[in-house]
Amino acid sequence: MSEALEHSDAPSRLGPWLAAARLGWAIESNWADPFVFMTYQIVRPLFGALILVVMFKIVTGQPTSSAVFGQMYVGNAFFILVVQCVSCIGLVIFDDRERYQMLRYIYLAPIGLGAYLAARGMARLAATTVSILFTLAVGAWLFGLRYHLSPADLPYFSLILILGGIATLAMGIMLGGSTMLMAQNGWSMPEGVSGVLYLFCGAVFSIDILPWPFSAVARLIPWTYWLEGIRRSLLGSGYVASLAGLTNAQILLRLGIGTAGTVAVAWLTLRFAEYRAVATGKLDEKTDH
Amino acid sequence: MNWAIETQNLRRVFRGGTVRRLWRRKSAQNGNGETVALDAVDLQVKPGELFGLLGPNGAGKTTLLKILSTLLLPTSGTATVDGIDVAKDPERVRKRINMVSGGEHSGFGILTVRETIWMFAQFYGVPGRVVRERADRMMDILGLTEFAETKVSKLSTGTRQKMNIIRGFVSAPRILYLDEPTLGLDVAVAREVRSFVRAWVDEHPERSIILTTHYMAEADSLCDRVAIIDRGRVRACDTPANLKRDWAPECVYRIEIPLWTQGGHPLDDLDVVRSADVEHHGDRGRTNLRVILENGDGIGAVTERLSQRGVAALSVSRLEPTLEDAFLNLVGHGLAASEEKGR
Ligand SMILES: Nc1ncnc2c1ncn2[C@@H]1O[C@H](COP(=O)(O)OP(=O)(O)OP(=O)(O)O)[C@@H](O)[C@H]1O
Ligand SMILES: [Mg+2]
Repeated sequence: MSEALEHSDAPSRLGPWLAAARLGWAIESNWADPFVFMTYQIVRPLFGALILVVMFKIVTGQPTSSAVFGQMYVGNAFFILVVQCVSCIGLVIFDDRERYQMLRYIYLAPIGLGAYLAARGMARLAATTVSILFTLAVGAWLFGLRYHLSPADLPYFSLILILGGIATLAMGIMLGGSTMLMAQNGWSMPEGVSGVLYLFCGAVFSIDILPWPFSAVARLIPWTYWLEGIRRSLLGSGYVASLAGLTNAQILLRLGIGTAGTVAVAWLTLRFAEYRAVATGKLDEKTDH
Repeated sequence: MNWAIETQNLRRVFRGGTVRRLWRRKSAQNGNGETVALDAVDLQVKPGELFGLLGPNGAGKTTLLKILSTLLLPTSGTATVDGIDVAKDPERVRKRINMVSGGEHSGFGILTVRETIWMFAQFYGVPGRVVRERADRMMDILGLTEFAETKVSKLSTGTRQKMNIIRGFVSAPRILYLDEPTLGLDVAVAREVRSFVRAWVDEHPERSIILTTHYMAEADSLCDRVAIIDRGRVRACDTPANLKRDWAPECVYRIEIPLWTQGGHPLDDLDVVRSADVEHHGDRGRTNLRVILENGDGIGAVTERLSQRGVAALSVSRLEPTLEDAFLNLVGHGLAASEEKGR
């Protein structure tokens, strides 16, 4: 049998992935018709930030010029990435299975479900960058936040962002992958998990106020160190008192280890979910209505 | 021989069942609420073969295709595709196969037809230039060219199905599964699809297609070999011609009589008549009987009985046995009857 036809045995690594990212982008930019895009990527995050401002004033009575406010604002702004990415990948399986009825064809293609989910999430990641930049700009403009990112910090800051992005994608794949085993009413699970994560990684309140064992969980997950690294680079000082003893390099190291752990758990979860789905026949079974 | 597909003692059991499934064939369910979808299936498909799976609803056709395409694990037994075990090495199997299911409304509405085909070709690592060539050619054959730049959300079900078919073929799979590819298509489009499928196999002697269908004529005219499946078991597997020779009764007659209004038919108490289908044509004042006799000598008894009853036989002709006759003989009932029972 002619081997020339067997091109699929040596596919280009990037081609399939870019094609999936393009699909993700097409779907994202579909609701990037200006109005919907504004709603989801600008207005919603902005309202989140404004609510934070009001709460901060009522609860603490401090002015927004206080250092704590800056830490909260930045943490909240970057956490949008986790929320958006996880809720995006969390819906891919449901949408592809029920709405587009394409999941089985995607699954059968040699691209692999993990790479496909990551590519779909990347598109949202890119769109969300706009939200974050916008929220940060509003912080500077309305609330007088000052960012001190010196060129010397840039490599460190980039590494922090990249590792956090990888951890977030992995988290999305883990949650999205496990929705393979759920009926359609499981769609809200990924968003729920990202809500819990919001409390556990110190996006707004320092992890120091968490009681044991939650504080221990907070110290294991990469997003805690991701936000700490971001705050140190962007605002010049950290937020979590109990992490103050760690050097920047140690923060980066812990983020790296946490990210590697998340990737490993995500990979195992996806493999298990695929195996169970194929064993029980749930992979392309539509929810009965 | 290197089989394209080989299954040995393949079995698949589904546990539990939703309400939907209770409506399906009860006979397939045993006491524990388990459904035996496939049982002791031994099949071999040769490279270059267009192989048909014919069976009533719930026979297990889709289940078999899902196992062969790594979407579902067998409960026991083995299945190999191009010599590779589907359960042990699904990734390698996937590089060699593709699949198209009919009767669905699938597709990413936001992409155009060309973008969809291109994306899937990318997933399979087909170089861009090759994709273009293949897609253009197939769109041309299936009359899809004018829709190439149309968004999938704007396509009719039939046009989507054509796109879906091209999506399946564009990776040039060594083995392709078509699950009721002509379901829901109008007669003309279904014919286009059939000749496209046939031409593909004829052009690529090393590639195989396995196709499931409800349509007897489709299985008969299109497939090199056909396996008749019922309740998870393969009842027979051979060329359509051999199936007819071996399983279709030879003594099938069509008898035309004046319109019969007394219920049943005038031959209902005759032993040589194994079965009879009755078709009334009130407008023409005629009744057609399609009778299957125990043996060729029976026709004498039939005409005798008709004249006893004062019924004129307006015409009597012997019919070529069809695949449907073979199917009836093997499965015990026709497809139409089981369709009512099954759904
Ligand atoms: N996921 C599932 N869970 C439980 N039972 C199932 C499942 N999928 C199929 N079955 C059962 O297995 C049997 C075989 O079904 P299958 O879909 O393979 O039949 P089919 O020959 O493709 O029928 P059709 O002509 O209706 O498409 C049926 O009794 C069906 O109810
Ligand atoms: Mg079926």
